[in-house]
Amino acid sequence: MDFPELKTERLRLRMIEDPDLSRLVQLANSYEVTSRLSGMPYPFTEEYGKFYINRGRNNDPEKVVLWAIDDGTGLIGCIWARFEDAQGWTGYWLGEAYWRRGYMSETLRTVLRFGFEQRSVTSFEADVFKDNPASARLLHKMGFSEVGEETIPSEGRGGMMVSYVRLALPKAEFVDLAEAEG
Amino acid sequence: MIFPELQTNRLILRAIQPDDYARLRFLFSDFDVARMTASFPHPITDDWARGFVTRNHSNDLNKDVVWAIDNGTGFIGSIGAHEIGETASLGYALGKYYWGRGYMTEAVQAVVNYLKIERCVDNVEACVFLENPASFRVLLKNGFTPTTVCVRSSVSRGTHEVEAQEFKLDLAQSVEQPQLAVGGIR
Repeated sequence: MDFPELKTERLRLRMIEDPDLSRLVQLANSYEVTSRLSGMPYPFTEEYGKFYINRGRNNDPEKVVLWAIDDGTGLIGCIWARFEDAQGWTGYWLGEAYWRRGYMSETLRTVLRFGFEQRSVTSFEADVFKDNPASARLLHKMGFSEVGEETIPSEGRGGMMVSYVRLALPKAEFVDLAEAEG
Repeated sequence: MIFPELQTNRLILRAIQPDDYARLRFLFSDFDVARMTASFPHPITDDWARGFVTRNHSNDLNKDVVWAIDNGTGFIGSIGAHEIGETASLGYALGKYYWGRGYMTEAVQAVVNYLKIERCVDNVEACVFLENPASFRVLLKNGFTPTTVCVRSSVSRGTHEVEAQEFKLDLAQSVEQPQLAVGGIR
């Protein structure tokens, strides 16, 4: 199966490649970024970056897709989705310099649409740390609602246990509207 | 030309003085500061710090103006406008203890206003490493727009080539932002 490259209004969602390494480390080696994620270590070293790229490239795209988010100058963040029959999961990060510009909004919307329309997903799930209101707002805007609360170690915070909220989005509640952003 | 001292709500932008040497050396010896600049070495040597003070004290002010940023306690950072003509480029550095307080946003606004009003500059340029979102915010708050991404060397990191975002501010179209302190000539 071919890698499912996607396009948003301003961005290209493409396979991560070896030449992304320096940009990946430049943006991901940030406590502001990794402390909001469960699985990305801080410091985010070049060695880890190579592992991250390899893993991203070698996924079976039927089951897991990792997209590099590219604004035309190169990688500015990543988004992944996992598919298991009718259930989808997603997660994402963006380099801090690219926050607050609506980039993740159009990216996430495009990936959710892909899951619902191309992959027979009927419900997506996403997790967000309780102290990350910006990301929670984004998920709510897409139509996600809270289904539970748990804790998980954050590698970006040195393995510290962090509370997170589980959110779910049934297909019928997906708000697929760019205009909803205002 | 008399040195163009500027004032903001909280800051004085003044000429760098020999007295600033110790504070400058102490604050700019921090790798977290140096790594975000293109030209600062790390570690900083006596010669480099003295050179910074004397070079910027004896600039041709028609072309290059480098200000000490002073919050009333002394030197806390520096900001420079370079190759002043129809365009000018901006560079700045602030001691880490003074980050996160809006000081540099204030200083950039004062310098931009000076360049616009006193020097009739049309376009101001600046370049920021991609891992420096705080500096992105300083420029975005001042109305700069990101243009292209380029590769710059960073002396403090060795010869490493680092990706950087170029920013541009078109002063012909810019509107002064009233919520910020307005810098003026003293």
